[in-house]
Amino acid sequence: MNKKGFVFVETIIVTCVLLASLMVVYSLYVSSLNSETRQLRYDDPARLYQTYYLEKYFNSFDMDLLLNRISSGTSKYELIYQGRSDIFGSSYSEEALFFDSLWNHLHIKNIYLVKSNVSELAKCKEKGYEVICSNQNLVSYLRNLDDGEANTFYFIVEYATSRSGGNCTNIDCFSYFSYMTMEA
Amino acid sequence: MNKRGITLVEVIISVGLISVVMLFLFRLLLDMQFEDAHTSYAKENQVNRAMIIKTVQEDFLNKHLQNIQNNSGVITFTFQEQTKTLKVTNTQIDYNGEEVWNLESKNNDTTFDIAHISVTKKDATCTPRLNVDTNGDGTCDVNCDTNHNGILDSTERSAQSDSYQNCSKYNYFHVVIPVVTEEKENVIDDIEFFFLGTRS
Repeated sequence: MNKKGFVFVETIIVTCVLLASLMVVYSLYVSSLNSETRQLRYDDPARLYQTYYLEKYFNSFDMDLLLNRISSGTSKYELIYQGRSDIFGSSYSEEALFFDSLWNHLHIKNIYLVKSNVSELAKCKEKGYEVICSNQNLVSYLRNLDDGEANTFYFIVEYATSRSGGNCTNIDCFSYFSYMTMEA
Repeated sequence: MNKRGITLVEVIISVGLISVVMLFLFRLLLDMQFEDAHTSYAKENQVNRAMIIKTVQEDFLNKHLQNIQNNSGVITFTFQEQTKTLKVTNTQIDYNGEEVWNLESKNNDTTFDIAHISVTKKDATCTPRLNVDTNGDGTCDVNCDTNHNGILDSTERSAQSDSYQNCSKYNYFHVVIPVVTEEKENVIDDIEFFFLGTRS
């Protein structure tokens, strides 16, 4: 019978294996916690209502212009940004200041208009979606969405605030996402 | 057979390594204990928050909101045909005596920050239409004030009515009731109401 018991090397090996397993468990735990926290910022009720009003606001102008560009294949998606005047047509001079105020007050970072078959888009394999696919927060949000019906579009708003709810900076920035469905 | 046993250095190294493992385990347990203690309250608050927002926002959608005012935690919503109040205390929101919601926390360390409730009203953002003298004769030819029939100076221009200015036909209201936990901002629990509509 072997009466030597554990030798020093064996103790170290066992401890290292334990340590490695624990590190894996801990990293999995932390990443699932982060994912849960991130998902709290998806379709938050307050942001959903803001997005609802934003979609109504833009729809009262010439959103068909953008939807038709996507439908006809002229563009794969559309971005609405500060200073984009073609949606407002001749009303831009009236709306420019109000739109800027709305954009800044709600901490809007981006507004995307995409076809509602987002599961394909979220794979980021198709060319032409570099801007969307470079936004990892957006891609992980798209992965949470179900595909919509044919000929419908998703109006997706990304809000970005600091931890305290103010303007975000590079190191202190949290993205909220919500969407509305639009029809051409 | 080696009968020397384990030396003191080897024991110390082994104990050191096991301590590292125990440290990880202990941290994991502490984190899980914290999550367990707070998750039930956090979920309760998220459900209540969603209910408050839904109830008030449905009124915004159905009752034609005209104005919002905040007076030390008593927020008054003026609709076309009635007025409703939302009373905010440290841990409770009472909507017009119809619905009451409480803010839950383990050590009563989560409260509404009444002093920092913000009500933003953005009404028409107007810029004066520029009067243009196209032929250089000193009289207005484009965007003219019909009552004045001339080039307006800045004082006269600022006194113009909406019809002589570039104004959005929309306005918006935004109410934020901040929530603090252990005296730190807890933005994810903040109660927010938003309304965007045409100016009445």
